[in-house]
Amino acid sequence: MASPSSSTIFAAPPSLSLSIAMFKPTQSLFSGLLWKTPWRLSSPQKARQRKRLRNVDKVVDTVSAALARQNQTTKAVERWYAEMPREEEMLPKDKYTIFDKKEKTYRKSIHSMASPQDSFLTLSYEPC
Amino acid sequence: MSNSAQRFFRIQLVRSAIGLPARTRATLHALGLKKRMATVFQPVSQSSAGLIMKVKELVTVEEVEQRLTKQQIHLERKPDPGYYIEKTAAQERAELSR
Repeated sequence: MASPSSSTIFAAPPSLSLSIAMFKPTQSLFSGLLWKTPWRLSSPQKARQRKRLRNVDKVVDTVSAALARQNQTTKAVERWYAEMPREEEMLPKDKYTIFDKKEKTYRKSIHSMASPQDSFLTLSYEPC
Repeated sequence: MSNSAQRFFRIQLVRSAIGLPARTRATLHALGLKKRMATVFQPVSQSSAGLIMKVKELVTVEEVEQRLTKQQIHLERKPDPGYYIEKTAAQERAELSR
């Protein structure tokens, strides 16, 4: 038998190469426990965040309209309209990132917050 | 203000209060919301509006003309049975007159 060249040594038999093709060789599959959170939000994550922001606007609009029908208003609603931008008026930076003094850019993505409960914070203002 | 035109906020808790500060949970309790997806009715007033504004990130709100019972809310979600029972004219008339 002829001595095998380096290319034949490392070439996988056809059956093996088929089985390798059955999964996508990602880092988490090759090594054991490897969980990585992407640094940027995916577009569905951003869409859900916009939906949450719009829901808050909708709640305030409903409350305000209901009170107005009774010729009433309340301080919390007035303050919201005076100070807070609506979802469509906000910059992408304000929608998807939050202030963090430890970050180099003082901003971190909302999905890097410690718990999802932090997303209840109103992100509609400019902290710095 | 006439009391006959009393309208209500229909409030549903859509996000869980787990892990939130005690004061926020107390606000939800004051509104009568004890579980996620629970629905309560509160009269339209400044005080109920103030409570809603405290938890506006957690709830959905509608303005309605009358409050429903727990049973009526449950029946809203009941699917169409897909059949109906044949009745005689006399039976239908008796049901309508009842």
